[in-house]
Amino acid sequence: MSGQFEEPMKLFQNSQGTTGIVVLCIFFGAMLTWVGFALMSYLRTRRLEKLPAITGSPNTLLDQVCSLAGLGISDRHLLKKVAFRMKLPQPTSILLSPALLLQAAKTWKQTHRFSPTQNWGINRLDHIARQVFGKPLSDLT
Amino acid sequence: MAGNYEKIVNLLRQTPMPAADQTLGFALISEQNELVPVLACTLLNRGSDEAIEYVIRAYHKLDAQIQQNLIERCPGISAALRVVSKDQGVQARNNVISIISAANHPKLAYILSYMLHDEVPALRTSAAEAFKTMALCLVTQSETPKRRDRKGADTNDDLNQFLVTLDSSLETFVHHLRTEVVEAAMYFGPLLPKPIWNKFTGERSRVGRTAVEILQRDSNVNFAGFAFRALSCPELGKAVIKIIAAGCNGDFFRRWLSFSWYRYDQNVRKNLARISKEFSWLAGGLHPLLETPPDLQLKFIDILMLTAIPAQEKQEILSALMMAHDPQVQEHVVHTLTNADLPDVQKLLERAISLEPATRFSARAARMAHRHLIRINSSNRAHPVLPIMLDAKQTQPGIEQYFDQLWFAFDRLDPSTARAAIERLVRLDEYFIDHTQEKIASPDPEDRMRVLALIRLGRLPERFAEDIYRLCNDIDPMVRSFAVRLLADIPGPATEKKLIEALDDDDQRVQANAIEALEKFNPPDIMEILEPKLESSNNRIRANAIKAILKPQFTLALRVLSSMLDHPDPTFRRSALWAVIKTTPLHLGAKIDKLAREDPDPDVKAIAQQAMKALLQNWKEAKNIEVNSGVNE
Repeated sequence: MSGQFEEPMKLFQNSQGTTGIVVLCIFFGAMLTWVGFALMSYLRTRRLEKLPAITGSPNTLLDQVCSLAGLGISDRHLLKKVAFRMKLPQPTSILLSPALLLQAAKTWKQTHRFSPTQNWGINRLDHIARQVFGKPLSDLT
Repeated sequence: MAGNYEKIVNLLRQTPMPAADQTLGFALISEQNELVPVLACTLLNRGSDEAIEYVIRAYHKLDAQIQQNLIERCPGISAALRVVSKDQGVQARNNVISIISAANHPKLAYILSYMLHDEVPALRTSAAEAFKTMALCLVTQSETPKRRDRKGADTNDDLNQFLVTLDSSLETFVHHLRTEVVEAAMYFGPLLPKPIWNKFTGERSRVGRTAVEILQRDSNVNFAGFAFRALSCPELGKAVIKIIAAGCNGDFFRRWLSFSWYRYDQNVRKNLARISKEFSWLAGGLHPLLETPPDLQLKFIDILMLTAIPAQEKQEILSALMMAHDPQVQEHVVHTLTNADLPDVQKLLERAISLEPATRFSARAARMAHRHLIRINSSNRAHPVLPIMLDAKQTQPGIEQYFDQLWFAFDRLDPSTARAAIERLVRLDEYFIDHTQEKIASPDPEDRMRVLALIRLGRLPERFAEDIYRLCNDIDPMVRSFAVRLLADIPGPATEKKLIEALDDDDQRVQANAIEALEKFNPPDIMEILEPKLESSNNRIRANAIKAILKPQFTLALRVLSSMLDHPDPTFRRSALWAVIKTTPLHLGAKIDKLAREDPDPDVKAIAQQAMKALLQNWKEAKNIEVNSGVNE
């Protein structure tokens, strides 16, 4: 009887080679990464296509204006991000119109549900309102 | 605004970066409050096309001062306006129309023309209305003397620019169907260049039909110039005449005179201005009208008679125009009076006649007036006025009066009186030929017939040979027939040629008369010429042909005549007997004797008896000649 089970037991006791599995995993991982990047790139292109035609260099102008208004890198980053969401070709426009700034705050709230991030963004926008218009965000009409 | 806002705006105002225009533009479009003027002014200061485009898009939000600033920049901002006119936003496109409408500059009309095809109906209507308003303003500007003097060149440029746009808008009329464009073109009626005018006058022109519809529904005096010009076009004119005759008034004339402004020099303009300004139907202020050019006066008369102005006023104007310097105008006034249904025509015509010796009134006009008066008088009387006696000392007007009396009484006079009168006239009237030729050229066929009768009675065909040749081709068959008959009295190869031509005339009466006249000349080839006529279906043609060829071709003619005497149709037998009476061929004696005794038709029987008598007479004469010659021998 014992002779009958000897061969299968060997199978369990002997260690198997894992090289093939690792290579396979790496391959699938690379594939997933590539697909992820391609998807992100596609979505970004789609979003950009929805924006109006952009004239000149918006980032350079934003840098100049933010420097003049005493706004930091985080403010510029926020303005770019929210302008993209608002489909504005020029983030600097937000600094010229209280209506656009209010709309930017509204858009930020809608797109960032996580409370700390939302608060951070609103605080930054309030800071921008004070720097540019000399009023807190709540006083802008 | 506190904070750094002003610094930012200043930076954007001065920076050469193109992104600044877009930045400011998007802010302006989004903004609704007190920052709008700041942003708009910054963009206007930057002044680039893109910056202006954003201001145009936000035009409806701007205050009056900035709007005016933008309007004053027209037509320099036409590139920006053109770009925004293709914008997706309806409000932006509406702003373009508002700006062009307010600027009212003809160089921007092409954008309105483009917007006539806009997808939004309300915008199409706004564009068309703006187009029409622009046309009206331009017409007003062109008519203002000050403006013309000061900026005449500018106005002409504007006008040319607008007309080019108008041309293209009318070209695409079937696509946009905006009647406002046609109205705009109608304002420029007298000034429209020929290519544009042809769009109205073309056969079955849709633009032309629309113009007539507009005239029917709107009695606007601005269309007077157009209506006046349309009168000279065959298709458009018919419809326009009816409209004018039904509805126009004194205002129409004023307008028309002002439209005539452009065509004449300074002096004429001055007079036209006085007429336009002081024109008054009853105050007798018509002197300036007498100073206008004759062609204008002629047209004025035509238009006057088409209007529904009271007859008394028409008479007053015609009476004034009778004093015009140009004989053509005087004649036209008399002609108009003779054809018009006015109450005091007779009095005015009498005045015209009385004017002649004292003033430089046209003799022809006086004669026309005189003839018309005679016609009126002779139609009022039961019996004709017999021509008065003429003597050698009679003056020319008296002779002309005599001619007129003869003319109107001619049909009722006995031939000997008429002939005597004609002979007297030929002797005394140096203008007799002119008067007669005038009658020959009359459009009334009755007049032409009468003048031919007069020529025949006066034995004058040779003097009027050329006129008679011409009348041989008259449209009226009676006149042709009479003229061909008179050719018998005009010898010459030209006459023979005319007669041979007349043998192929459509009218059988003309053919018969031509054969009769040809017989008189007896050309050597008469047989060849008339042989086809021996088979004619018309009895008179056949009989005339027989008679004509009887002498040279006796046997053939006799055979045909004999067969005609046996013809079952009594009219043929009658015609044959007429030929027998005229030619008396003795060889047919037996046949005629038989007809005289046995013919079933009493008329034929009677004519046959006459023919028999003529034959007997001829036979007796022939016998006497033979006897006499025998005795002599």
